[in-house]
Amino acid sequence: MKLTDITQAQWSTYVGLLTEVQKDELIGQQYTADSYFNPIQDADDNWVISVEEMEYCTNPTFAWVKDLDLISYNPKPAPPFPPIN
Amino acid sequence: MYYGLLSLASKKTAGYGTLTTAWIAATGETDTTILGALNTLESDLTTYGLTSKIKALYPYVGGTSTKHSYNFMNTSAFQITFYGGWTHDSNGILPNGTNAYGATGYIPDNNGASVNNNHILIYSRTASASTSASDYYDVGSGNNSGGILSAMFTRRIGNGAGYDTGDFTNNRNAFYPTDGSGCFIGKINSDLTSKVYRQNVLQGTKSITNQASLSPWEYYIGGFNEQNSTKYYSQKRVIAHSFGLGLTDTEAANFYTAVQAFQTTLSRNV
Repeated sequence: MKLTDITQAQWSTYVGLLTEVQKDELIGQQYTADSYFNPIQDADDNWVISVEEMEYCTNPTFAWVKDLDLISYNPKPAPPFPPIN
Repeated sequence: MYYGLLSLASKKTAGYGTLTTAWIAATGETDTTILGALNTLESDLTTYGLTSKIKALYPYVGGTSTKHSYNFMNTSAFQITFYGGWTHDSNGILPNGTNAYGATGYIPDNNGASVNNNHILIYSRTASASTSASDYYDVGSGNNSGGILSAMFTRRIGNGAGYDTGDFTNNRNAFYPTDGSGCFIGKINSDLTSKVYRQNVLQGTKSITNQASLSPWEYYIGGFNEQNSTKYYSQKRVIAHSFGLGLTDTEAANFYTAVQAFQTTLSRNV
């Protein structure tokens, strides 16, 4: 599945799948003015970026992110933290 | 003499105050509705005597990540660095809840704030509770045990919300709004009484225990900075953030009045 196959309402349920090499290329780089890529790992330890970073990327050096394969986003479980009273 | 007059004239853009002039210089904004609203905000904050207590104020106007990054109180301090998937438009900033956060550079312990002397303002346009099964934070930083914590979140699953100043166990001011939108102000001063307001209506009061450190880590927005690691991403749309020193009840009310007038001029008020 690609970026062009989903609607904006579906953005939060998908992420772009990266290789380890691609992840290293994106760290510290801007996808548009004053906005940096932030690759994260999902629950299966895949490196991924958000659909927003793919869609809003105007940096020609990283235009390839718009063609990344999309996978369903499976977030890592949040670590335990003090609960609200 | 001519050069002196020219130098004086260049210090302010015609008709605008010092802060607004500096913001114009930083952002290049030309929209006169936005600039008029900012100028009025500056005037109001000055009239209310609030400028020295507000270390950072992000009005999130202009519609771009660059313009949204600037601190209106001092464009040379606490400029936000945005990471991950943010949406920037005329209705402020929207983090994606997946990997979006903003590093502010504002460290409470290093900027005069303390457990009994700080405020956080969040103006949210998201009424609904968080859809994430995880906890989330709109802004904050702290350690991984909750013993040192400075943060705020406006409506989680189950309507839980909170303003944290210091130790979680003793000092969390918990409240339960049924509407997560609006102007939330959490504040504490030397009376050791934490208060949280939504739209200038008191939501919760908590007597706190003072302690040495508020937080030595910079605030993140759109998530929480846990000892320089990002966690608890937010999906809440925000049209203003502020951090700084403690406010009296009257100052908190005046701050709300000024910010609400600003948002109303821009037709994005709650």
